[in-house]
Amino acid sequence: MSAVFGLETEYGVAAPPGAAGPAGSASAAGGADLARAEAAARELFRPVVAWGRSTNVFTPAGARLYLDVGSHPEYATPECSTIEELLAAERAGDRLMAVLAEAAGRRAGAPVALLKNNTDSAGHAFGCHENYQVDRAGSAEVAAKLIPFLVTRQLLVGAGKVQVDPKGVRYLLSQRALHTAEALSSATTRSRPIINTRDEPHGDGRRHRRLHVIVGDSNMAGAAARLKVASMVLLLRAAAGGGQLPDLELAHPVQALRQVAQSWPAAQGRGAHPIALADGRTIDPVTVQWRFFAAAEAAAASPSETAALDLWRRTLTAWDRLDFDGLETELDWLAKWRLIERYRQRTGAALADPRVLRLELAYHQLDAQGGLRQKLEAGGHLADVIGHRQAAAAVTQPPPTTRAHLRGRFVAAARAAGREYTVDWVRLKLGQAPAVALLDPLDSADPAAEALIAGLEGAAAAAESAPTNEFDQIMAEAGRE
Amino acid sequence: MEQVRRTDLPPRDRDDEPAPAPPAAPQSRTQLIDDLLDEIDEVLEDSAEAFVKGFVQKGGQ
Repeated sequence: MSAVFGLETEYGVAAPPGAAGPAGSASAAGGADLARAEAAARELFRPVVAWGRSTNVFTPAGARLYLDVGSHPEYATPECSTIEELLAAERAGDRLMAVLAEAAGRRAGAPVALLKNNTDSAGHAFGCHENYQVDRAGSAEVAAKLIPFLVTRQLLVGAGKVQVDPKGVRYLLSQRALHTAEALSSATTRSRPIINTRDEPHGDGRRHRRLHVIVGDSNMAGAAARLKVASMVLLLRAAAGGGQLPDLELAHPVQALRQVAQSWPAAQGRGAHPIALADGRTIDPVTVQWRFFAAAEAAAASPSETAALDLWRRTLTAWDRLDFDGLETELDWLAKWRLIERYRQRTGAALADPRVLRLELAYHQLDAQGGLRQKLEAGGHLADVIGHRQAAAAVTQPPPTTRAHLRGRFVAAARAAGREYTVDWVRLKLGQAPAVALLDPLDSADPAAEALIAGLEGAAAAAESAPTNEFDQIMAEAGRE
Repeated sequence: MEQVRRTDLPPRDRDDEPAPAPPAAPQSRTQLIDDLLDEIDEVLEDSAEAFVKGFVQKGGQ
């Protein structure tokens, strides 16, 4: 039983004072910082625009690179149908963005920092959105039943955050918990929901719709990223197969989300943080997760899914026993907390010390100059679950099991042949010819698309080799093991 | 208020589960973190406040 899913990650960009940016374009200091960040994001995208003549392009991997509202560089993975494909595609996006940031820094003469987190120092939030294709029939009920799961899964896959505000200083489990205002809604930027209900199927809308989860944190730890997506895939598969998802309607989902975010440190013991159910009872958030774990357990069908279930079970057991040792190589909130705690032991720094906040950002930093992940993985402090070879290959190679296989090859072939083309998630269009529509995301061998690609590949072989520009070189660099 | 009971939960301590990879010894893990912190110490001491305050974005979605 196959389903299609993908991730959209918005990255943060920081440029130090004196770096690329219009001097004196804003009066307030925050305005100058913002102007610098926006200038850095545009600089980062300059090779992309030169390559695709747009700030919205699809790569030969079938992925979308996009300069989003607020000038967040965004990478949307191609459609994937296995967890392995998705993890490689997500990591490929990190690699591509990091090399783009490094190249922007070289051109500007000052480093451009690339961050994969979800909040800035001024309290703005940006996202890591998950997309899952679901059957249209019953999709509203499934979405509603998943809310308690999504509210409590930060116990496992939250990225952690040092929160400094008038209420005090504390370590939250989730980056986005304080930035989520509704359970289900079609809004995105003004009132962020847990699940966005905007109906964009990007396919056959009569049969399917897209379940668009926007409450999640961006993950640095591969094991956490795997668990975040695999747990959803397993629950949706169980529901589609006639299984029952737990019926645990929460009285106040957003309030519960914020409560659960404040479960750490967990010294108070099990049952110390009950959340309210709509029927008047209360429930422990860890119990909520055990219920969903039980619903998902039988659905695992691949080694990655089994590994994700294993981490799910070990993490819930750790919450039951309040003994988290060993999980710091797999969970972001814990890995970062242990790093911060060690730093504070060594220096005596308070949790709100600027050096601690800088260390927190370094955990999420991806550029080679400031990022810690490569070192953490090389030293075994973060488990490396993806494999560098797969991640490197996914920079330019689409997943073979979905229509991204056609889109990516079409882009590569049209460019090699020097032809004008336009693509989106559904359509492939060559020059003024009628577009080929790919309505089934799981169709990786549509005959009309294959014929189109074969024609282009023939033309490309006869043509002189297409000129490569800076973005081609950046993709090649990001795709090196 | 009534608490929801954990009667229908799966067993958690079965012997037949695959064992997770053995974690590195606590001592070496701490050493590793210390080495890493030594490496970025300069970054943390020098420009921390400017970097943190300067990290301002527009809100995304």
